[in-house]
Amino acid sequence: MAKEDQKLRQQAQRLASLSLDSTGQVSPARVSAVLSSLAARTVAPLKQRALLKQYEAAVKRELGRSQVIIEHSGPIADDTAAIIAASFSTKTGRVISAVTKPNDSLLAGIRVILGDHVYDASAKARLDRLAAAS
Amino acid sequence: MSSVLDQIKQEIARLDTAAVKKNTGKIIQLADGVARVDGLSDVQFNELVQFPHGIRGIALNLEEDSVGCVLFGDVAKLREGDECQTTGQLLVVPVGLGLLGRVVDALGQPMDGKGPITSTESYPVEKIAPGIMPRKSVDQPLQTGIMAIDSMIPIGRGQRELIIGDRQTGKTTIAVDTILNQAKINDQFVKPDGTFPEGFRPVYSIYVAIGQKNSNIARTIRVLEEANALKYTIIVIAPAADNAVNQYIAPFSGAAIGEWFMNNGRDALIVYDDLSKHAACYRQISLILKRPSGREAYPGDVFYLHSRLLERSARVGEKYGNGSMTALPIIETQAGDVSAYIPTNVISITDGQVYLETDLFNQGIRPAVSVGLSVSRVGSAAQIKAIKQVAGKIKLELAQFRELAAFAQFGSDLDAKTKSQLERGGRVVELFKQPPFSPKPIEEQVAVLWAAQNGHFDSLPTAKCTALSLSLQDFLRTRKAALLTRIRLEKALKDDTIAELKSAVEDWKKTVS
Repeated sequence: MAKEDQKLRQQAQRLASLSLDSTGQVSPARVSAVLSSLAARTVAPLKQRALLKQYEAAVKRELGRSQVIIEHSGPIADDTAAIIAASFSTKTGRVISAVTKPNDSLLAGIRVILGDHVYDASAKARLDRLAAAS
Repeated sequence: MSSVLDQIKQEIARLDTAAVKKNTGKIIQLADGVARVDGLSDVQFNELVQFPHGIRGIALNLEEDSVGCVLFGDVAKLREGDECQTTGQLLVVPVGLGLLGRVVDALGQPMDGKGPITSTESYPVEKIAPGIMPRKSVDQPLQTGIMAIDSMIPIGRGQRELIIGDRQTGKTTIAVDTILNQAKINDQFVKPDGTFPEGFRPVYSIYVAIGQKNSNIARTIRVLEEANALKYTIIVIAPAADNAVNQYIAPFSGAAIGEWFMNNGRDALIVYDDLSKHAACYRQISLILKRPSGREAYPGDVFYLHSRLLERSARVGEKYGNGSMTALPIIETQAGDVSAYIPTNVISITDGQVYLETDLFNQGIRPAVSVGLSVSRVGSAAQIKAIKQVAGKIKLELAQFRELAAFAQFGSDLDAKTKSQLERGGRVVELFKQPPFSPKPIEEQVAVLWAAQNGHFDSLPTAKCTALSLSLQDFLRTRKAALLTRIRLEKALKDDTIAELKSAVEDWKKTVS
């Protein structure tokens, strides 16, 4: 069972790498191509479903690496997102796009998420630290 | 009002205002105290991971695209999709003298309702064992108070002696007796202000209960309390009702607590009760983490699990703390099978074993120590001279007696020498019988064994030898206390001590005949 899981994961990883374009970004056209080729296969639905789930997770990880999510409370200047994205592009050496997302629970400030890394400069995080320190 | 706000503002200003970098992950699977997490790409092996609701976990499986974490606390509060983050820390437990007399859980949190633990230090639960250079040879005795063990299978400070046997053969009793004896010895020397005289090294005990029934743990605590031994003892509990992770971590927490004593020039004794259940918990965790299983479904690293734990027991030199940690791991066998997987592993790791036999136990020979299968590989160097003088040959004689007794069942005509050997052996077996929770001081053991070796019990009925040995101890304690003190302090039987002992035993014989 564990071996089968590993095989599926490796297969999904290969499909995810096929879904990237020359700049290392996830390409919607390539993803569609991968999906249509998978649909053309005659595989048991359960197996197909498991592979697609693994593929989804792998693509999500790839998207997470090339997309920075900027959560903010209150207004954010137009060029701030572009500056942050450019800064991360330089840092990671790959093209990174920025998405802004309002989040009132932050109280003030911003939180930047890139993959599983979170850079928190929000008032909520500071208050949480204050609570933890007391 | 404004001053209060100013105070808060100042506190906020004092905090680092820079953005905090966190490495996070999301729970993608949650089952039986184990979470599979997506993310946590920066996590290190054995690193503490913080989950919501104050629940903590340890990263045990670092896979290509997920991390397997074992969780502590109320896992029912967690849900799939919950976020967790790395902490950059290892799991630590409080250590120090503040834990003495306390009952704590696997994470060092108090379980006895006596308030918070007063401890300023903490040690990591997982620590690399002392290497070759810090170690010193084992040459100081750790007396168990059990005559059969102290005379034939002696244990030294820093040794790892396995207690192995089937269920209900008295394994825990031997361990508890040893703890009681340490407390008794400590009490003999303790000054009114709680300190000890120069040159005396008290032994502090740690009892780790893994997968035990709560009723059994409560009974052990009660025994220690009644004997006033709890003040020198720390009890770490991970009962059967606890989740497997707490049971897995408990012996390591106990070892960390013991290491503090070892690193601070003190001697500690740690009892792991028992490692069979510990191995079963580790098997459970490993199977849930989908690690490949091997013999008896145990993971491949079950040997390393116990070797890294038991290697932490040592005696270290002056430069490295000048303390010791003696380990008494307990293993439960099934139908006396010592060649099973976990028993053979732990036998090969430890410096000897005390094997308890069900047959002996049922015959009323308690402690049911099997002389033939029990051994101490390093303890004889730690035995005091007085015991060596009186018990040097006793193990061989007893083994010969067992063989002769088995052979004598087939024939009725026995020569005089064989008969006397059988009678002497029978008396020694009786003398070694000892009720539970009544450890014997070493000087009384020396006196009884000297009397037996010199034929003072030969004229007395074999069946009454156990009671007579108690009567001899009582006689010496009440009428010849100075002689006992002399044996204890001199640690050897000199000619004049032997003469005095001889006359004392003869005086006693007059009272019993």
